[in-house]
Amino acid sequence: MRRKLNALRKPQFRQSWSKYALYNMSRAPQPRISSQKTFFQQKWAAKAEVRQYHGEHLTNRQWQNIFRHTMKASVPMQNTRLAVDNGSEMAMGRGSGLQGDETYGRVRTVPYMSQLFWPMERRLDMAVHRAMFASSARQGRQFVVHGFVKVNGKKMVHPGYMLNPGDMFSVDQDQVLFATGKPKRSFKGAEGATETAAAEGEEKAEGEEGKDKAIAKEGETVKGTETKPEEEGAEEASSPIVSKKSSTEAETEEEIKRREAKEKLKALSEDPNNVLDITKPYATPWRPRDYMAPFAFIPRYLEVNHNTCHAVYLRHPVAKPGLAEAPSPYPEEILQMAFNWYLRRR
Amino acid sequence: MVIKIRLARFGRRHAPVYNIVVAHARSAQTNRPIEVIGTYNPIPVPPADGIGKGTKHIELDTARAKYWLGTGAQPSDPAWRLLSMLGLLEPKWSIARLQSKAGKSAVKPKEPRNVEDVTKSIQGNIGIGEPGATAKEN
Amino acid sequence: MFAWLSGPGAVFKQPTGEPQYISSYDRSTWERKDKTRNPDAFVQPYPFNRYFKSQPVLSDAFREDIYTRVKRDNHSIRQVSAALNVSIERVAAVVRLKQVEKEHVANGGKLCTFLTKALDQMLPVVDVPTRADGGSGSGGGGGGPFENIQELPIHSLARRQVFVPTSESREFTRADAGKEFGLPAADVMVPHPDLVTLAKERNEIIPLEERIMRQKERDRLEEIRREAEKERAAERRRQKKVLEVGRWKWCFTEAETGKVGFRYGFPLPDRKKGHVKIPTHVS
Repeated sequence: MRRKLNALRKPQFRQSWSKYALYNMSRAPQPRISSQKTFFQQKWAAKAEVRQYHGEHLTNRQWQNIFRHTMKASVPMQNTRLAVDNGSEMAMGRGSGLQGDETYGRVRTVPYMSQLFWPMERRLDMAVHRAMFASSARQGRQFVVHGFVKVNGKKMVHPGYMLNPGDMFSVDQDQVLFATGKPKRSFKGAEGATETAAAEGEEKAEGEEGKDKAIAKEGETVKGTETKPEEEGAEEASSPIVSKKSSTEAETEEEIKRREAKEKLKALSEDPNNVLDITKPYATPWRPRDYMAPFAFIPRYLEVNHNTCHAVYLRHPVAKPGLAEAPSPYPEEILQMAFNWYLRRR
Repeated sequence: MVIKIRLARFGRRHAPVYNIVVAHARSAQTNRPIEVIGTYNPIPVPPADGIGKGTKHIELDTARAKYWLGTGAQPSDPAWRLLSMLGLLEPKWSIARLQSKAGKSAVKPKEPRNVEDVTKSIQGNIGIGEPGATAKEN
Repeated sequence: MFAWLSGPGAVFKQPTGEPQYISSYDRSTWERKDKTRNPDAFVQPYPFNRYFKSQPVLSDAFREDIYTRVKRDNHSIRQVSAALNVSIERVAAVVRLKQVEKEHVANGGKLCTFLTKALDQMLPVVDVPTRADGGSGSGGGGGGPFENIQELPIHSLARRQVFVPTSESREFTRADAGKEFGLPAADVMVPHPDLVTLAKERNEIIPLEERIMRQKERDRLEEIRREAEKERAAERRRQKKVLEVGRWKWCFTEAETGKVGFRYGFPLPDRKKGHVKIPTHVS
């Protein structure tokens, strides 16, 4: 097992929602590969880079066994266009379509190379993570190995199980809530969670609202700002630039949105299903864990129902014009180099 | 030579799967049989919801099975059990079959046990706490 | 690190009612970017991969709507897909998931509705379309349809490059292209070929009554086809005979001599090196 997953010395992308991963992502430099190196070295460097994120807990052999050099893609068709013409206009002119036709002139590229890791997304542990049932790929793997994951209603303990289109997988609800919820600090804290949570939330709400106010109308003293003097300074330095020119309407709209979000978060504890239960492994009533929002996305090849923690793997991830469905933090150039490495024609 | 309908074991240790084969009686289990007419998986598939009985899967070419029975092929005991379940044969130890073989007077159907006796014996067992003691007395 | 987390990173700590990705902030000053100028930055979870976007998900109300349309109003999955602009497999999956949810509730299970609510605060969500034609409401998805239902997956046969010389005077159509790859034309291969036919008929200035008549005829044929399929499935089921004897259920399947059973002289290579031991499907 790797010991330092989120070392701060060199920022690496990791398949995890930890705040360390977030901080590293916030300051990671644009992944680049020096063109001074030989082609072999470039490929090696790209491969080493992308494996920091994609299946970092797998051996190279495990990934190479599922690697496919063919990528899935799909073409968006339009009813009107299919009805109007029979496709011969694509071969008109000099054979590559009519010149000067705007709709045909700008064809967005299909990022095939960004799809490099699509077989990885078929793995059960990865899908569990992508469906937001586990906070990291490693945790997804643990859930599978510990027997909390079912595929089509049967327990599946192989994290390397390759999902097929139409497979339904589910994770134990408590485990999902544990992965996505705030950690339980202590017995005492869990017991008084309702009061402290509400109070904490209120305080935070006040603080952040106050911060927004501070941006809008400077010089107002609020409770929350005392704790973070340096941040206040930064805000003050930046605020004239932001708030001066931005329209006041947009600002207020955003404020309203944030306030609504906060109210909704507070309302979570009033949900009849969200009860205080100190036997649970997470803080009750359940609240979402910190620093989760910047990692929140559900790719289109999954259809997830978080009410019961079930998800369906609809199809394999595909590339479309201007869009790659397989999630990856790396730019296409790096992935292309890595693809060349895995082609084994080195 | 006698032709038998019997099972030939395949699969691995603790995971048997059988071919239902038609073979000469004195050929070995692993020999190539005259014909393979089906398979039998003795390991039950557990029910999907965990409630109820498990399922054992049998594939069989019924037409060929009937043909071989018609030629006088003799099923082994396990094969007889499977074929009788399908209704191709009478169960081996069924009263009707035995009576037809040995005559009506030779085979008497077992008297159904008296319900009162049974309840008494059970109660006796509970009272004494030693199973079989009352049974001997009876 | 903790200075950053309590400073500019504080905005990421709790959900704010809309997606908060690192890309929507300037990396040096940590100011929020202008949404009108670069809308792509607000749906891009990873700052350096501009091709991966966080696409909106269906809201719980939308899912419920799909479920009621299929289960209560008895619409076919294909109809619901065309009406709501949600792909066929997604509609089927939603119905499956909702069915599981209802059964879970009926068995006295609890739902994590609060988890769904919390995630709605972080994810781009598409709500139930207000108009009948499937334009989605507000939310992260913008005004357009939820997804393009006429997406044509590239067939593996069509992946190769082919060089086909044709005369200049000849029209080389989609059907011709399909034939070169050994496939039907794209008009037939799309998930909703009937929508293409409808669009064609609309272009041909056929009177409305005639169009309705034709559509009804097509629906009838589709119904007949589905019935026949159902019958075939029932026939297959009838082939199987299940008996309950003793401790077990015995499932008899009709087989054919010569095709059934393990064959002699062919080893079972399942213990060989390199053989896949993880199951490839769960039925």
